[in-house]
Amino acid sequence: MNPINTALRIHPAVAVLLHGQNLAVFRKTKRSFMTRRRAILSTLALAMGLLWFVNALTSVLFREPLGPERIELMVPLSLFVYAAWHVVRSAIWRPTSGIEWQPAEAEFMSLAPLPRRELIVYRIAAITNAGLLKSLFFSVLMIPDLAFWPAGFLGAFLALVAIDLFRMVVEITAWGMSDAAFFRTRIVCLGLFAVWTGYVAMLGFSDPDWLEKARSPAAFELAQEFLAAAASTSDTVFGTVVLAPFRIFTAIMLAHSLSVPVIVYSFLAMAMVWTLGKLVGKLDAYFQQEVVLREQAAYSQRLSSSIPATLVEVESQIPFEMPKIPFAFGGGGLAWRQMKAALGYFYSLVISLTVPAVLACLPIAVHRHPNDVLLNVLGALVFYSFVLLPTALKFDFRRDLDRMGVLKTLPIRPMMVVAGQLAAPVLLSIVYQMVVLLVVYLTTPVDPKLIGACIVLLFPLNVLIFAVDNLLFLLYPYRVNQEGLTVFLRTTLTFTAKGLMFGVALALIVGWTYAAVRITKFLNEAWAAHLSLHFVFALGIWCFVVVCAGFALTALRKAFVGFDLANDV
Amino acid sequence: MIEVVDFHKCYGQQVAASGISFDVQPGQVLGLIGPNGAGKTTTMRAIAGINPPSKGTLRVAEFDVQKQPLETKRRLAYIPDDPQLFTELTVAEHLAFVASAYNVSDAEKRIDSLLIQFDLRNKVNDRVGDLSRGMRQKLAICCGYIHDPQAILFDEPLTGLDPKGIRVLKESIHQRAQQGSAVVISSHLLAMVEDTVSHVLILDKGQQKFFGPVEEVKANFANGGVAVSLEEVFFQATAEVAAV
Repeated sequence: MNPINTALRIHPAVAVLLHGQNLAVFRKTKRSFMTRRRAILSTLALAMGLLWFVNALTSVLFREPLGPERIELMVPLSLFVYAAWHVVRSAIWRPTSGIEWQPAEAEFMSLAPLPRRELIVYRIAAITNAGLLKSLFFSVLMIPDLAFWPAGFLGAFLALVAIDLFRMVVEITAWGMSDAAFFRTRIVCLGLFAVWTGYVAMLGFSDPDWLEKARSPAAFELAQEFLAAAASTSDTVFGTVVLAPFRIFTAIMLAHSLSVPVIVYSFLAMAMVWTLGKLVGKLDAYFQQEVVLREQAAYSQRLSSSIPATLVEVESQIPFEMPKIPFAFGGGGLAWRQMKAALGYFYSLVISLTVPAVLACLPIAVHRHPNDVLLNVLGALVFYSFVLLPTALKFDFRRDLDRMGVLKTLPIRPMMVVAGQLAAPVLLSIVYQMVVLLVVYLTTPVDPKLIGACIVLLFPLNVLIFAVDNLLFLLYPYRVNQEGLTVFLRTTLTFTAKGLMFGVALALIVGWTYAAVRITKFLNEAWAAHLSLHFVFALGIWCFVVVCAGFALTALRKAFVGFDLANDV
Repeated sequence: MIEVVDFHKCYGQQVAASGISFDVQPGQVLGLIGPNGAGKTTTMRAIAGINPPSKGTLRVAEFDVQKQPLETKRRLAYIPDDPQLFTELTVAEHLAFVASAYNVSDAEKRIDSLLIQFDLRNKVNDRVGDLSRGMRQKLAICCGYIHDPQAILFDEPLTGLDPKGIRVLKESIHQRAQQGSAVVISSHLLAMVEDTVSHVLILDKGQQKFFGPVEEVKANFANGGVAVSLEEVFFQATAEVAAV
């Protein structure tokens, strides 16, 4: 058989499986309209999707092109940052397996007499499938900047597949290497990352106007300044070398026609993708064997040492202490369980929350008046809490899809189940916000009562944020570790919905500002009171948030009670 | 047919199986019994090639599980206690995938016969996520039987099955053994498997307590010449009578 045909051949069983999975997507879509509730929700999702699409289309049709120079700079840099992120992530959180398989893939497929290569091909096929649609979206959004759309699509597609394959290479290597080798690699990777970040920070802070730029909401201008500083590193020798492979994809994307250089670049990019695919296969085969040999060698050494190798438990020697869990109307146990899980990720959480915490603290260095500092920090905290915290703190219903049956059979009032499930992320959020506010208190002569008022405001806001996220989850359940296009579309729709809600909330706040002025005036005149406008305004906002949180909790309770294990899981 | 020699398996510092050796010849049905955490599933998963051994050799039909995994898998079926199936695929799609993976020539005919045998004919177009626990178990058994395996491993196969399903499964095990398959069944329902097994392997805390024909094990643990049940053998071998 022709060697090229052999290399590209997909096992008929894998083809059957992929075909079945594609059919399953259509069946799932059909099921989305089977019941009245699902039909309403799916229609809403469609409307949201349409809104997003119209918005995207409008931006495509009416925006100014970025210009080839900017794209030539930003695209390779973005691809590099994306690739580097995979390295840094694997250096911090070591993967527990080389390739992340779903349970059915891990067990059902691995039992079949399929060569390991076929399983890898299946995985790569899934990545390619998702990459096709992502690059289609991307290239449509980039239409004003692309002179020849097919080349733009091809370049984006090859770039996305290459980066996903690179991620697989990184994850397989991080999983398969010995503990000592991983430790050394971690030091090198994180060291390089720290040096690069430090260099970018040095460039960013060398701008004398950086303080002024940090005044912008949520320090956006400062963030842009840092991005520009990061982009400037592409001109260095290091930048030129590491960005070189990514520039090939950019050259394809920016092609004006199907010229000879574009064909050459396309072949180069395809060769890169093919090499990475081969590397995934080779590394997987090597480390699969290496890990087994290492385990066998360690066990053999253990047998020859004085440590007894058999599992003979001496029950009386096993320490046991019953954890003391508060009942709290039944919600205590649930809250304790979620908190215990969250603390298992303590260091990951600290790392992921440090950046937004630092950004939220920037106004301390910028503003002179303590109240301005507090207001800006509060604004930044609200923004990051709304955007980042629900993604970082998924210790609620969202990780319990397979335990919904257990939750529903507990002899606890549904509202207490909801309270218990939400307690951990709400408490962790308030702790995170209190730490930031403590920094404000320690560095700025701000009235401690105002700090207390901020905490009182943030608490119901956290309840509202997590209740809404969980409500969306219970109405449209999904698995946390899902990947691919479904997650991409879901995230797009969720953020569109959240954006709309945020917009409505802002409009209401503006409206309330005018109303608060009139109400304060009326109360002071009618009852000769000495109410401060700030007090009335803040009290109104707080009442509004509390009422919204109450509605969200009630809706969440209803969604939990109505959750149908047969249809929703 | 199935040969396990000095099998050891550790997970980190915990040793799940230590020095286990046994063999199952064509036509034999081995009952793998032991309390929870004895190492039964660990042993089965190692024979199935899912978990590599820390030490020892495992062979199926003379092929080394580690060195010749494809040859082994072609001759083996493993039906786990909690089959992990693709919830979005239908019954027919699962069977089509397995038939294709094992390159079964007369797949349609075999699948039809298995579906009728296990009462799944009317569920053929249902998605697996909609099936009951017992139905999923039956589907996993059908998937295991499609390629007429020479060695079959059942991990708690009776869990979730209705009485008719249990009877059909037991009959099919007898039938497969008579046709020359080597079968291993792990189960806690000792009374249910007592009339099915020809040999017994008792494991406790990762160690092998007894291996031999079922008559021999019963004679070994006989109480003053009175024949004992497999359940009695289990308690004596694992010395848990006092705790019950």
